[in-house]
Amino acid sequence: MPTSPENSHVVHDASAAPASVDLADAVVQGVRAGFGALSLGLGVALRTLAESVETVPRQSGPRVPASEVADFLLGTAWGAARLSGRLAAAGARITAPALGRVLRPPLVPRRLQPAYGVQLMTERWQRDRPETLAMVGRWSATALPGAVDAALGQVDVEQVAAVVLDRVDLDVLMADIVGRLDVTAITLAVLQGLDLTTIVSTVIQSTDLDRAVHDTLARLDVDQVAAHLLDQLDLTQLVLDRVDLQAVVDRALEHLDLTSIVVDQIDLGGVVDAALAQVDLTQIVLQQVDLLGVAGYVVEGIDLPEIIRESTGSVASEAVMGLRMQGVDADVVVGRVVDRMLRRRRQRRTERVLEPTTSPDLLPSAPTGKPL
Amino acid sequence: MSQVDPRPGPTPQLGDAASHNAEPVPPKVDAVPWEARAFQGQRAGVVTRTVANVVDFLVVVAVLACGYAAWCALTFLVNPTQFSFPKPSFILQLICFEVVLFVYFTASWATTGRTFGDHQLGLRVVNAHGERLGWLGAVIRAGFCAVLPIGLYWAVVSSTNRSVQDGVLRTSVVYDWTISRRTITPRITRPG
Repeated sequence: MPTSPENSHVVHDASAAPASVDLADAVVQGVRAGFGALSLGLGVALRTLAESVETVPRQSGPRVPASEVADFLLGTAWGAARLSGRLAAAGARITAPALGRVLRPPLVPRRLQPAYGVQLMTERWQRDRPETLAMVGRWSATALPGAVDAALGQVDVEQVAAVVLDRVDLDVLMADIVGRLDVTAITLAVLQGLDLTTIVSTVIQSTDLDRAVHDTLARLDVDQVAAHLLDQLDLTQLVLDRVDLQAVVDRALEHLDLTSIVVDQIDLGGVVDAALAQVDLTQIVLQQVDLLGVAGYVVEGIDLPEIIRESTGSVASEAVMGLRMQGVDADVVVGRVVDRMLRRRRQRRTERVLEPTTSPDLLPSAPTGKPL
Repeated sequence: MSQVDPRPGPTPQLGDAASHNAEPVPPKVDAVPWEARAFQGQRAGVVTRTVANVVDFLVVVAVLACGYAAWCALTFLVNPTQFSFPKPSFILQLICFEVVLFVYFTASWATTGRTFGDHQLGLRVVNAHGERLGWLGAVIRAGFCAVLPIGLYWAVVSSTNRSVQDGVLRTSVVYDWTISRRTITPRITRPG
């Protein structure tokens, strides 16, 4: 990835001078920082020595831990530094008025005062400082990578990274990083810089999609996923908005023999029984049907008075009907006997003279010995 | 007893039936017993016709008896003191019998097509077209039957169950158990 010259400087521009602190405080803080760095360096050195130098067990004699010696030396130096600091502070308070007089002696022209020289040197440095820093930056851009590379060549980076990762709570760190970043903007910038079409096509060509899908489906609880999706979707509204239900129904009905499906698949008797069990048919008929009108129409259609007249007049009694039937039978017998006596081979032609009163198809067979 | 004719026809519909079918056809009803329908319209045999004639003879005798009683009552009312039962001669009785029989037959066949005896035995007298006899036909057949009652028994030997009167006048005596026959299809066969 190309880098701009500005980004190559390890030492950043420090032209903007920070707010100046008191000299005494700066000295104190510097001394403290120095001792802190020295302590850390000794700690690292001692730990490194403890890990690298093979310790030979001694038979006798007291053990003198190096860390305690180091702490003793540092404690002694720290005490001396504190004492020096206090002496310097006291001396500064005492010598400050005198030093002020030395730097700005009275009755001496300003240009001849030592303070003026100090001011000139300071201003000269302030003017030259940006250029000096820029030069240092350029130097760092060329020399520091080599130095870092040389330094890293002496370091087991993987081990260092492992040590760092052991000491870092990555979750908290990542959460902090993500919270500081504009993830959307970064994602958009990344996507704009990528040729997604080529990447996707390459991925698709190099991937066994069937196997990938198969493995994915095998790992997924498809039922649960489907249930989750269905919970998130309003399928009814979706179908109503996006599907031409009338066209779907029409196409389906064109390909279906609905009558045969209903007849084959549905227990129509059960359906009718269930429907009738829930319906008070009698009440419905009483409410919806003009029974008196139906009765009147039927009576008018079948001519009920004529039926009554016929039934009561034509066959007055069982005795009369029996007499008639016996007469018919006697006619048959007599006719058959006479025909036999006359050696008549052909049956008597007693053709039907009157129109039959009912359909011939429904007529019962003639009594034994058809009337001749 | 009554049976509804199951022959196919326009089924009466309620409500809109009247609008679609101007004249809904009522189903025909047949009051004839099922077992008797097979021989309805066929010519009757001699036994049935003889029994019917016996009944008619009794009717005529009853009428004559009533006439005789009425005559006696009238004679008694006119001259009670010298009343005696009249003794008509055989010729007079025969003439009266024939007259009453003639009138009875004529009126019966011309009006209903059947005498009282025919009604009891389920018979009807029809002409060559299967229709009821007209007055002229009834008069001729009644006279013929009154003069030659024995002609009935030609039906015993006739291959078509016809008497002498039927053969001459081309009439038929058929089984017909219905009260009235309003429409008769002219399906009469050639008289034999």
